[in-house]
Parts: sequence; structure tokens; C-alpha cells
Amino acid sequence: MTYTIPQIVVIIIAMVLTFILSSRKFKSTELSMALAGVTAVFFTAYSGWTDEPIRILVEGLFTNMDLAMTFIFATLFIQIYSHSGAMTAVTRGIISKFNSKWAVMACMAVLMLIPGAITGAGSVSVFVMGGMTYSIVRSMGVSEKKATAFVFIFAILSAAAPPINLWTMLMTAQANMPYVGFELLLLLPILITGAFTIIYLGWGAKRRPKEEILAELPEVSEKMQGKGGMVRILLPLVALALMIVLTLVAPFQMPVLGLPLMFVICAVIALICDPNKMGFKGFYKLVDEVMEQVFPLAATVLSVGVLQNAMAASGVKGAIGTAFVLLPFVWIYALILIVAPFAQGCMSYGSAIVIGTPLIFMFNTAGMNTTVVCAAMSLMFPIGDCLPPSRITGRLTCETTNYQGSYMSFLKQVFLPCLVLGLLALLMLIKPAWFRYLI
Amino acid sequence: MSEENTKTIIETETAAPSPKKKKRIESNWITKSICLIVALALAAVAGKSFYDQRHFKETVVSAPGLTEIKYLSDYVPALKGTYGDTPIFVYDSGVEGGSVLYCGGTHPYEPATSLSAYIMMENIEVTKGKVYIMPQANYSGTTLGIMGNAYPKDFDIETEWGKATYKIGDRTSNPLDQWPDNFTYIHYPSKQSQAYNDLRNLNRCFPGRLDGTFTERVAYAIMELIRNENIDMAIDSHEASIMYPVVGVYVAHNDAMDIAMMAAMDLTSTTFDMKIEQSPGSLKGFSHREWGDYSDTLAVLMETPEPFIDRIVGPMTRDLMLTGQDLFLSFAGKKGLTYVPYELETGWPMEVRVGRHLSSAERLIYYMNMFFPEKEVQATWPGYNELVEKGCGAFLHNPEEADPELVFKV
Amino acid sequence: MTLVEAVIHYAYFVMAGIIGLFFLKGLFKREKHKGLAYDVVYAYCIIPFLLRILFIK
Repeated sequence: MTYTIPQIVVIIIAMVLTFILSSRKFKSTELSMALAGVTAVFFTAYSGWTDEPIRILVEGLFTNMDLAMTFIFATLFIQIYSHSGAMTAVTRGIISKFNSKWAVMACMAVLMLIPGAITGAGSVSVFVMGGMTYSIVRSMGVSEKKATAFVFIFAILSAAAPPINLWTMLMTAQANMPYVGFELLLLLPILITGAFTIIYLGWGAKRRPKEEILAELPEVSEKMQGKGGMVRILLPLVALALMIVLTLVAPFQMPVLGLPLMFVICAVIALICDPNKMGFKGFYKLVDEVMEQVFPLAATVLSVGVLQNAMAASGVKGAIGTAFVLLPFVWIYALILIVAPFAQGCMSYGSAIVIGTPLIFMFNTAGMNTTVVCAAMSLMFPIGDCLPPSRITGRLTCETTNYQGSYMSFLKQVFLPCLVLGLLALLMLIKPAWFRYLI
Repeated sequence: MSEENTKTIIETETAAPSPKKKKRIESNWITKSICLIVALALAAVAGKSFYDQRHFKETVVSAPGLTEIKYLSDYVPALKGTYGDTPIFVYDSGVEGGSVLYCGGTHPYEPATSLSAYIMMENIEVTKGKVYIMPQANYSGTTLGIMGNAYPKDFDIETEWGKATYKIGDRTSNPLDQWPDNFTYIHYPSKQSQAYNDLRNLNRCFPGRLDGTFTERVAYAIMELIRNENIDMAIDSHEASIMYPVVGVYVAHNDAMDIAMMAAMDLTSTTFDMKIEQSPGSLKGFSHREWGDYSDTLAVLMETPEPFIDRIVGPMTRDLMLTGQDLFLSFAGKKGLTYVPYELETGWPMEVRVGRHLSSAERLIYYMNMFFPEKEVQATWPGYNELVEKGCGAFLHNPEEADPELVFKV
Repeated sequence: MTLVEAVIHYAYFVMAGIIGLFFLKGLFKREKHKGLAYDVVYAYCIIPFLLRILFIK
């Protein structure tokens, strides 16, 4: 043993100070996270715990590289798809088909849930459905802030929804539990929170006349109307759905494509279906714009990786986990709704492994049902996707909807639905026996 | 690129006096080039370290009884020339009997497994039957560390003749060999959904597929090795975090339960505490389940305590890997959160972990011989007590002084 | 299937290379986030893509 608690505390303080000061000075969350990581690695090397500090920093950049690629190619697909006018056509279609505000919001909620539920990534829901959902919900008279909150809440609910919940999968993998019996346990709280969110955010909004809304939306070119238009609109989305569904139902006949390549394939299909041919120059310009648009987000996830690696190298990750799991049960119940989301904000999916897995073993020792406990925690971690330092889904949502208000005002707006989800999850954690029938 | 386009500013505020002074740092092609050069320098320094780990070979001096070296590519030719190909050292006594496979490095971040295989190889004497030793089952996984965990790339074992260096790898195959991951992993052939990165986890890919992913092909090759060589007992060695319930334990396939139970009772009463669990039917892809289901072998997995891979440890150091001593874990131990006893002063040193594996394997073979005399294997190597007394280094031979034909780079 | 998997594997290296090139271009010429801070961010974000396409990490 070559370290002491004061040493680790000093590193934590230094990291926090570095993050705050560099955030003020450089106005860049990405750089601030990376610099906080550099500080931790500096102390690690200074204390003689590593002789390869640069390796630790650079290795961290690889932690979320695949996620960054997913973000980049998903954005590319959506921009090409939007360029064809398909988004506008779908938006016009939904607004003209449904007459009730509640029906429209419920329909958009379900559509938002699907991409994240089958890929496990809420960000995919934001990329694929976020922009369209925002426009449609806005047209129901919902304010900018509330419509942005709507997109975010259903994005995190989609990530938590079955069949693919990455937090559950990581915890079950660590604890050698089979990934079975989680469907209803996850779905029921999500449906309750979803219903609450629709009512909470839609309450008081006045839908304007259909004709007025449609008049404000851009016109759709003739080629995007009729049967041909339908094919152009649906083909890229159907291709994406087909690849995802085939991966699940015919996994041994399908090659492993990975989400980035799936989005590339869809982008190519969208390009072919686009009636507004853009030529090579136009295409290059669009890709260039997409790369610039998505760069801050990609840089954020890459920088989170640096932070994660630095926290592990310096023992800060262990300190956070230790401080929490050593608490008595009553304190764990009292603090988990704060600690779990903030751990997600710091460590992304690493939170499930650092906080979640030890707690599963603890609750197991206490004779509680671990499937319910695991599901409960899997509903708490996604809430942290709007919290600093990483705030990946929150930031992505605000960028997708071009939200102009302060980030704090966005956080205030999502607080209540997050609290409902958190309290439902907490109830499951405290009284797992009540929920056993859902397994 | 015009100067105007590239000239931009960042504004830094000084504290006082008011009105605030603004210091302008210009960003132009010179500063951009400097940033790029610094980044390339960082990439070069780190890249050298990554490259070294990718290409580093561990040295082993085999005992004289080595009769043959096989490769996984002998069973799946597609693996030839890839990082999935790995050697299997065969020690054939020439006397008819049974056969045993000892597997290390299924998870290369559990290095006591491959080190125990090397010590077995360096000191083995087989007088009946055959022993197959595969020190690095997932060779690809030895060529990098786990993302986000900041592992040192290697550790040294002190010997009388100098240091022997061994790698600390990943839990899964290297993305350079298998990329991308899917958003979920669906196990073949059960269709059970598992965590997405288990797609590259060898011990979730058994029984594997010939036309599957890189890791599934490695898994299939190991199954073919077991089937073609008629392996009577296959032992898969692992290490586990001490806050994980399945630690210090045999996990046995139904067919090997009696043997493992006797071995566990014997070890617990004479040498060290050893638990026993039956391989659960609901967990798919594991060696203890699929090796037994898809071949006639008696499949047993062994887990020894490795605090280094626990979630709540302090700085990731080589010391932690070698001694297993950690302050944070000692708090967890005091609170009863660990599944093996844990004291800061003792930790779980490498020689204890390696010694446990060597004695645990020896006892399994001993009881296989009792239950199935027709499969008898007689083989000796150092055991727990010797390892604890003398350390790992005492059982590693100097490659400089050894017969060059018995020195291998793995 | 093995061949298809191999093609996909190398396609990912090409995709990583394209991203790296666009980041390099973004370092020297971009419309938004023109400050020095983002020069630094662009520069270090190139590293993983560079080391990946060089088959180093």
C-alpha cells in the first residue's frame, strides 16, 4: 500500500479546482475535463504511482472512441436525411393526421422511446427523432424549454427502456447474473414517468390551428409527396430499423455492423433518396459542416475518457466508490439519488460498474432480490446524463433543439420528471419484494 | 487560408482592477501548428508504449519433458498469422493414460493465470498421460489494457538471475483484431443477450463459431482442441475481484462436480479455503458450462482473489498487482463486503494466487484419477506451500543459461 | 461471413481515418469555436484516430 487518504483528497480537490478554473478561463467543458485529468495524472506521476503518465492520458482518449464515432455518423445521417426534406414531410404528416395535442405528444413519446430502447443509447433517440419531436411538440404550443425537456426525458427513458439497457447489462455482466427478467421491471416505471412527463410538460399548452402551423412549416417538394415521396422518406428509416431488428432476431446470419456503420449505410441510402442532388462539392460541404457541428460533442466524450482513466490511475475512482459503499444502508437510500446520477455525470457507464456492482453484492448479502435492485439502479443512472462534467445527453439535446436559454433553466425544467423516475426507482430499491411479481 | 479567418482570440479576465483588462491570445496557424506538434509528440510517446505492449513477448523456459507445440491455428486455420493464434505446449509421458488441458490467460487482465501456466511449464514432470498447457488463451487480449482502468502495461517478477516481465492485459480481445462491437452481444447458439463488450470476451463466446467473430473463432478453436485431443479434464484458470461472490472457488460443470467437490474439501482441510459452485445452466458462454456441454471433457473453472481488479481500489500500480494490498479494500474487508478474508498487511500476493492455482489444478487431477482410473494422469509441479515459501521467481529459469531449444517467446 | 466481417473491420479503420482528416482540417480552418482552447481540443482529439489507423492502439 503506497498511498494515504489525504493524498487522494488533495488530488480530488486539485481536479475540482482545475475543472472550475479552466471552465471559467477557457469556456470549454472538453478542455476543462481533460485538464482535470492532466492534474490527476500529474499527481499520480509525482507520487510515483506511474512511470507512464502520457500513456494514461492518451489511452483515455480511446475509452469512448466508438461512442464518438457513433455520434459523428448519426449526425451525418440525420443531416443528409433532413437535407432531402424528409423531416419536414414527416412533421407535416403527423401534424395533419392527429387532432389531439395529447395524442400527438404520446405518439412522439413512443417514437422517441424506440431508437434508444433497441440500441441502449439515448443519444441515438435524440439524433434520429430529437429534432422532429421538438418541432412537433413545439407546434402543440409547448414552450421551447418544455419541448427541449420533453426530448431529453424521453431520450433517457429510451436508454433505460428494455430490451437493451446498458447499465443493467454491465452490472449483470459484472455480477454474473443472466440478463433476463428485467423487461417489466424497467418498463413500468418508464411508462409511469413518461405519462407524467407528457401531462406535466403539455399541461396548459394551447395548440394553434392546424392550418396555421402547417403554413409556418417549409413546403415539401413534389418529389417528397405521394408514393414515391413515401419511399424516399421511409427507406432510410426502414433500413436502420431493419439492420437493428435483424441484429436482434437473426444475429448469426447478420455480420456485426456496429452503430456507426449502420448510420453510414443509412446516410448513403438517404443520399440516394434525396431529390435535391447536391453533387460532390455540396456533399463535402455538408460533411464539413456536420463535423464542425458535432465536434464539441465528440470532443466531450473523448475528454470524459481522459478523465475516467485519470480517475482510475490516481485512485479517485476508488475513493468515490469506497466512500459510498461503506455507508450504512439508510445513508445509501438517502444519498443514492444524488450519488448515482452524479457518478454517471463523472464516469458515464463506468458508474454502473463502480457504484452499481458493489451495491448489488451488498443487497444480495442482505437477502434482497438482486434483479429488482439492479433494475432500480439502472433507472437512476440515466438521470445523470444531464449532469456535469460530461452532461452528454443533456448537451446533445440542447444542441439538437438549439435551446437558447441557460443550461440551468433546462435542468430546472427536467427536474420534476427526473425526480418521479428517481423516486420510483428508490421505492424499488427499498422494497424490492413489492416488485418481484414483475420479474 | 487567409490570416483574417484564422486570427481569433480568447479572452482571459484578470482579477482587478476594474474595468477588467483583457489579455488577448491570438490563435493563428503558428499556434495551431504548435498544438498539432505537441499532440503528435504525445501520440508518439504513448504510441511507443502501446506498440511495445502489442508486440512484447513473454519468455518461458520449458521443462525437458516438452514433446510438441500445437497452435490454435492447427484447429482453425483461419487464425494463422493473427493475434488469435496461440501456442499449446504438450507434455506427453509416452505412458498411456488420460489428458488434461490447463488454460491461462482466458482473461489476460488476470495474469496469475498465465504465470501459473508458465511455472507449471518450467517445472512439470509427467509420468503418465498427457498435459496440455495453453498460457495465453486469448492472446489478442494481452496486447492492451482495459479502457478506462489505467492499468500499467506489465509487472516484474524478481528472480535470482534478474527480472522476468509479464503483461497485464485486457478482459477482452483487442479492437485492432475485432472491431466494431454491436450495441448488444447475442451469444451463439443460445441467443442470450449479454453486455455489448462481451462480444470480445472469450469466456462468454464458448462454444464459438467457425464463421463467427474473431473471438468466437478463437473459442471454437479451443473447443476443437478439446474435442480432437480427447481432453479428459479441462481446467480454465481465472482471477476475481474479492468483492465478487465467485472468488476462491471452483466452478464445475455438472459432470465434474464430484471431483471438484472432493478437491475443494481436501484443499480446505489441508492447505487453503476453497469453495465449490456448480456451473449454472442459465449463464451462457462460459468455459465451465459450454466446454462440458459441447465435448466430453470434465470442465472446471478456478477463481483466485485478485484485488487489483476490484472496483474500489486506490491508484493502479504494479505494486497493487503484485501484493494485492489496498487501503480502500481493507475498509470494505472490515465491513464484511469481501468474499474472501482481507487484511491490509497480507493482501493477496502474486505467489499466493499462483500457488493456489497450481495446487488447485493438482488436486483436481488427483481426484479425477480416483474417480476415473482409466483417465489417470500423473504429473508434478510446485504447489501452494512451495510458492508461498520461496516466491514465484524461485521457479523461473534463466533463459540465458537454458537450452535454447527449450526457451520460448509467447 | 468471415470475409464480410473482415471488410467491415477495415471499413472502420477507413471511417476513423476520415474523421481524423476532418479533425485535422478543423484544427486549421473552422467557422465556429475559433479560440485557442479549441485548437488544443482539436489537436488532442486527432490522436486516437491517428493511432488507430496506424494499427498501434
